[in-house]
Amino acid sequence: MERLRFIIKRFALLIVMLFGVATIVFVLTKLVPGDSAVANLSQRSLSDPKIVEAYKVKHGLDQPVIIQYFIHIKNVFKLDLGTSMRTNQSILYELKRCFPATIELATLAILLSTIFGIFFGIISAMKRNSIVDQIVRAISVLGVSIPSFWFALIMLYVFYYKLQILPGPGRLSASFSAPVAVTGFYMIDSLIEGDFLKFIDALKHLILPASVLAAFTMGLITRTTRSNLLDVMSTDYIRTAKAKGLSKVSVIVSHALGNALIPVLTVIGLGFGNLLGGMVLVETIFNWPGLGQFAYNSVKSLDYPGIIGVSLLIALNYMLINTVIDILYGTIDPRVRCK
Amino acid sequence: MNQKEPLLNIQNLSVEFRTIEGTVYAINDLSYTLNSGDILGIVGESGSGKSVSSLGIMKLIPNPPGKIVNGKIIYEGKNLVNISEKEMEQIRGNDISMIFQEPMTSLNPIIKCGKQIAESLILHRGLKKKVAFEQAVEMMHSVGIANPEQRAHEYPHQLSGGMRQRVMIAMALACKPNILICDEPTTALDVTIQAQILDLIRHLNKEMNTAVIMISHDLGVVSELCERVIVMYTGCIIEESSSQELFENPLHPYTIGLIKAIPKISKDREPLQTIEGVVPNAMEKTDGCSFWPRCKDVMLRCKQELPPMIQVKQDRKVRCWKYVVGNRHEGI
Ligand SMILES: Nc1ncnc2c1ncn2[C@@H]1O[C@H](COP(=O)(O)OP(=O)(O)O)[C@@H](O)[C@H]1O
Ligand SMILES: [Mg+2]
Repeated sequence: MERLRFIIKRFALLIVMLFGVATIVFVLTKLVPGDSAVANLSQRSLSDPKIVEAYKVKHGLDQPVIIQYFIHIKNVFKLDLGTSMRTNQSILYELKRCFPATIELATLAILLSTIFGIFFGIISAMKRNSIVDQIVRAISVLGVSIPSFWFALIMLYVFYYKLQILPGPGRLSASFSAPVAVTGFYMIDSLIEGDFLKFIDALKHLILPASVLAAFTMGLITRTTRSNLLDVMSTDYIRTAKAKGLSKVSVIVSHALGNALIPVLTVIGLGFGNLLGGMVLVETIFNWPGLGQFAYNSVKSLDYPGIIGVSLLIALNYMLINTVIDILYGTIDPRVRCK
Repeated sequence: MNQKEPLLNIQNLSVEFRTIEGTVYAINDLSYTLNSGDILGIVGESGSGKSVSSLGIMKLIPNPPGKIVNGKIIYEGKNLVNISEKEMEQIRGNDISMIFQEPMTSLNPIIKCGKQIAESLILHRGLKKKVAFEQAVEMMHSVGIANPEQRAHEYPHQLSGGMRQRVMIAMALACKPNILICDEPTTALDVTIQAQILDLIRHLNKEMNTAVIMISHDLGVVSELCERVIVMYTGCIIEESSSQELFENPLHPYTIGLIKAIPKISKDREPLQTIEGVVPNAMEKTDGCSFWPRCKDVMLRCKQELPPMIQVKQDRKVRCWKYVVGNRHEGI
């Protein structure tokens, strides 16, 4: 009961936040200098005032700002995000097309970084100050500080060009056709089609970009896990657990980890939100038709509906993830629930 | 009783902490015995090594930086200093249990109280989860927790400090240990709660015949509960006596000072007496008695030589040159 109320409260808060974000995004697009007509109409069309006028009417740019704002808010909640000035497709359609590619990549990346990050963090804390600890810490610093575009190129060079064990850019090899879109995730859609080879091919294409993206978050997770575990290991309740006669491993598994991983959840959540925003550089290098590429193209052509759509989606991602993390916090830590 | 092997026999125990700033000599040549069913009190100012000596018995001194550098801890014929970690795990919580000063932080915040108690029973008695939980509830009942069925399903933050300390006691006693070490169990609690907890410990000592080591900086607590008392100063025992005699006739100047410093409720308000000076830095090892800079009766010899433990009479020991027969007062 207490838990259900907690969850409902979190979701109510989510709607309020979404409203705020929609407002901020609108204000920002109005503050940015640049005329979208100039960016989207050809030189010849621009010289014809009628065409420019028609363009402005079509996109509501002739209305007073306050009216534009109310229309904007209403549309956001109706999920009517307008039409892209660049592609003339509805923004919702565009996002549905490119977002699954990003989700698929981001999910694999966050899984990799969580599994390895927590594992390395635990090892590092248990073997504190040993050579293993030093190596793990060096790797995590490297992961956090290495520039992703450079790392991406190195990985491509080594595994694709030199060793030839993994495929190059793209989501599938040329010999396969894209699976019929059910979920938009190639790994799932290919399985639905029953084409196992296509599934393997899709997975292979994911490995390099996912590893590149995972490096940063993994570094953060390793460091957070290590330092939290060390903190927790010196608390009074761990001493109590040892005084009970529990072995070192039991103490860590059943008493220390739960407490130490609570803050790590936040890092994982932020990392996932970050990845879901679409990583422009990595998506470009790996020719990944995801949200990052769409965002980049929208900004380049001052496609307001596109920019607004992407921004709202990214904000929504963060808010959803935060809500989920909060609920998980409440599930793990009973003290959070009653606040 | 006296002829029997003591339950616990600590001989010449020394513990050091090797820190970056230097070596802390926390325990110096500590020896005492505990008989089964006894309640032994250990008193001393904070920093005198009470906690470290009891953690030493549990082999829970944080290492690094702490290390037992010398001595023996004999329990049931085994020297705990030498046995393996595996063997020690079977003794902890099963034969020897410990409760700590800070009830607010000594329980795991994300595990239900009942489960934390049941854990020892599962570990040492091999009970099934459900049976262990039921026994945990019974245990909570016997340490005076009202509504134990409900409390067992609550988390530590839902309980008051006194309740949490009761949970700690239930946890420590779940496997009916032979020895219960209480490290200032009531220091963080209100006076009324303090009395209740002490009553409980006394009651459980009688009922379960568990020997208790009661550590406190509060002489009042110790005098109320213990038959025998050890006074510690800078990691050394400086006096050992029955509780009654210690109060009626303290021997060591430090003990005399401690007893004078207890606030008394009387009609005319005398100013509180304190022992002047501060506890010396545990990083410096002096040749003489570590109390001499604060001692009113200091003699030349006190500064040069560590006094031996002197058996004044049956069950009465003191570490002070004043009581060495034939020792002349040589002045300062
Ligand atoms: N982890 C540690 N590192 C360094 N010194 C310590 C540590 N724990 C205790 N000590 C030192 O050991 C001495 C005895 O401490 P303690 O047993 O906690 O005193 P008490 O319990 O009597 O107040 C003190 O001088 C203290 O500074
Ligand atoms: Mg202490």
